[in-house]
Amino acid sequence: MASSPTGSSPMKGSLMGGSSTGRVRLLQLGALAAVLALWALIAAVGMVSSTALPGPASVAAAFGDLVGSGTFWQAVGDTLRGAVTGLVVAVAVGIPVGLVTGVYAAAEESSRLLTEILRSFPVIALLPVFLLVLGSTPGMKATVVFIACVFPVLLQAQYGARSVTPAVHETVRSYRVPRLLRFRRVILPGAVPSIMTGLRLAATTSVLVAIGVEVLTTLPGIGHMIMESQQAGVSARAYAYILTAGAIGYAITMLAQLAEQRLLRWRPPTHPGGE
Amino acid sequence: MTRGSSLHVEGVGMSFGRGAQEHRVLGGLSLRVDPGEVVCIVGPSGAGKTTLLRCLAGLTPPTQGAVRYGELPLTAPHADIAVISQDYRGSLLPWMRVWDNVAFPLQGRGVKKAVRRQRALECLEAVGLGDVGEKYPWQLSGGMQQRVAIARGLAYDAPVLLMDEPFGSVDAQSRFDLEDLTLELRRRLGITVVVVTHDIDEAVYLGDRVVVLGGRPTAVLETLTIPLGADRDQVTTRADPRFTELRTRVLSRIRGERAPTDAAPDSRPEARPEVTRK
Amino acid sequence: MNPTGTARTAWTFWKPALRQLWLPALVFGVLLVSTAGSTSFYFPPLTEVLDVLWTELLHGGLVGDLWFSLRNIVLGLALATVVGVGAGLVIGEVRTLRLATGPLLDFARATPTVGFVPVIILTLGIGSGPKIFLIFLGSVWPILLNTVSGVQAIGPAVHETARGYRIPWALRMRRVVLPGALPQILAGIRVALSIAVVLMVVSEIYGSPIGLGNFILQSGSSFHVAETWAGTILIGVLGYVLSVLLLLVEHALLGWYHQRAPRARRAVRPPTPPTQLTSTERATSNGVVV
Repeated sequence: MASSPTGSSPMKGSLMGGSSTGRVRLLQLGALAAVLALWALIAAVGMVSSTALPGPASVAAAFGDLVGSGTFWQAVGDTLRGAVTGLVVAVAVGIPVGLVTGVYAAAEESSRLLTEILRSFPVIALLPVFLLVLGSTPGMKATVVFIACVFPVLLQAQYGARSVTPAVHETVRSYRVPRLLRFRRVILPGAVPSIMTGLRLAATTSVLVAIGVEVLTTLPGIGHMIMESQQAGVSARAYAYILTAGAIGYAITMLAQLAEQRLLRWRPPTHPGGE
Repeated sequence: MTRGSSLHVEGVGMSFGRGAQEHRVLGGLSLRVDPGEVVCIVGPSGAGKTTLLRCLAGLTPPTQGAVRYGELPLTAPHADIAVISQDYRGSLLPWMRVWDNVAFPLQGRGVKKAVRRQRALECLEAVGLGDVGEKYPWQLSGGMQQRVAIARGLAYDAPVLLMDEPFGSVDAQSRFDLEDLTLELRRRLGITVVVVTHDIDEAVYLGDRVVVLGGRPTAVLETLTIPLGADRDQVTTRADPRFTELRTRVLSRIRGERAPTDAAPDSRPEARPEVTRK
Repeated sequence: MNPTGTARTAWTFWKPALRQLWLPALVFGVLLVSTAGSTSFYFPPLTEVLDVLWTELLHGGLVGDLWFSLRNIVLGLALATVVGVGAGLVIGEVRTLRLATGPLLDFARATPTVGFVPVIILTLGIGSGPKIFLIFLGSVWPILLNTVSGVQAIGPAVHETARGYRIPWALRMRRVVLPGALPQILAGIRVALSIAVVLMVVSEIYGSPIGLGNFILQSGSSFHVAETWAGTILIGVLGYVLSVLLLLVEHALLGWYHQRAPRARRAVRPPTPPTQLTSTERATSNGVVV
């Protein structure tokens, strides 16, 4: 087995492919291949109609066509734009409110029931009402995304603020640190790990909700394209769009995790973010 | 009345990692535990005492040598051997009541509920916890939880109890009680007990024999017989001059062979006290 | 819980209750008052909305709609729980399987089930079955992933004890692994619930003859504003009631978990280093909606 001369960890792949990460990757590819094979089998056997579940080959072909077309990228852009707008506002509102309610127990208690009710409310159910009031506009999409994303951010910020121990609070108070500075340099950094979890959750939610809105309304975007393709009977294209949405969501999750790991690498593990 | 067979450790060695990473923790240990004995294994921390115990328990097969129980090579946990681990909090299942925890190994054997419940209550009685059967583990103190773990080992009807630093996370008073409990159980039930501990006083107090580990890789430095009789008492035994002599011997033996993190074994003559071999 | 004296118990209950209730009560009152004389088309008086809600429930077919949607969501969630927990336990226990399927499961979790709605409904029809299937499809992932995470989180001391006492496999799964993973599993079900409610609404979009989602969609498109608000409120209430029910179930099943000190809790769930599946909600249910 090839091991480096400095005696450092031979974890990264070796020539023999005997390292564990190499083996894991192989396993994962194997699992993927198995799933694809199963998919192809089900489609070929005709257990389900070909419009309900087109085979992987036709979906791949449709995907290939899409990537070249302008409509595809426009749709992706529309979805992302709505998602990002809502997300940004949600973060701008959610973090401060979360921090404040986290620090001041009275505020947290007062708002607890409301937050609980609003959080468990299915945002998509607001769509008919929103359609009535705001009409079918990109602003409406961003608003719905905002509502869906503000709660994870808020609750995580709250949790993070609460994780600052009473001992720290007392120290800060005894040194008479002004309130704003206290928030900026004590509470906020202490809450960062939880906030990062909240950002990750909200980021994935934003795309999902944006697509959900597009499916239910005529607003442009990936969701709308899925509906259109399906109604035109080209379900392979619809599936290609669905997989695109999945890929975007997956990419966001991976990026967010990476960011979390790097930004927080130097922090000692205090709490597992978000219990 | 002793039960069970002897435990034989034959040239047991344990290494972790491969190639350039290989770390040899245990190097060719041999020892033997006879039925009805209390053997205490002491050594500095990091010496691999827990690793050795896990080999004895059949939880981790050694990389060299073998462990035998009687004639049988031990490669997996054996029905005659019960392990009481250091972390009682982790080993008692929090979603079961105390009696259920104690009876659980019996459920694994297919014993009917009424029978095993009865047995569990008996064992709890034997460790002095006759009235806590219906409680949950979190409702008990550390010392009591450790007793429950011991009761569980008893319920398993194992002639051999392996204890890994069992009284380490327990307060000093409870520790004395638990030590006496161990001796009492051996007296009454004739079980064999192997105790791994870093507490030298405890080792000398409990043990018929004390095995001192040390060196790098860890080996048996010495085995001392403790001639203090079977009836021991916290006050009188610990005041006995022989007790002090024995513990000093063990301590200097350990000190003489420094902690594994330090350099090569000490070969200075003044560091090696006179010792009587077994 | 204060055992000394019922009078004190009553006060210790009401004081925090009041602290938590004053703001929602205030908001409700403000809404009530501010919309009272409203002539706006889109924001009818709250009293009118509630009135319509009541009428529809009693005389309109709203109860039928409610029952239809409720049935679908419960069946879908139940199916998702059975499949998710079953598969999750297996994947969690078998290390190779867990490592191999990690990215696949993450990807499946990230895919919006909402996207499947047009496909499924337009090809499989508007009956109960496809809806239940959609709800199942969306809810199974958080449950499955959280089950895997829950199994992984069981401390090594627990496994070692079971191994040391030679507990047979089936008994171990039933009385050690499953209860040990239960806190995480229930957190996963909580997340799945919010997803299920959304899918319940969305799956009724394409001309389902009955159902709550259909009700608000129809009311919305025919500009019956008060009905639309009424239906929306009802959906919110339904979601809230279901989550409260789940909370009760959680308390019943996890009495042993909640009563311990937080430090003891962590003995069962030691902080594990980031694994392949960190994208799972580790016991968080913080508002992932879709």
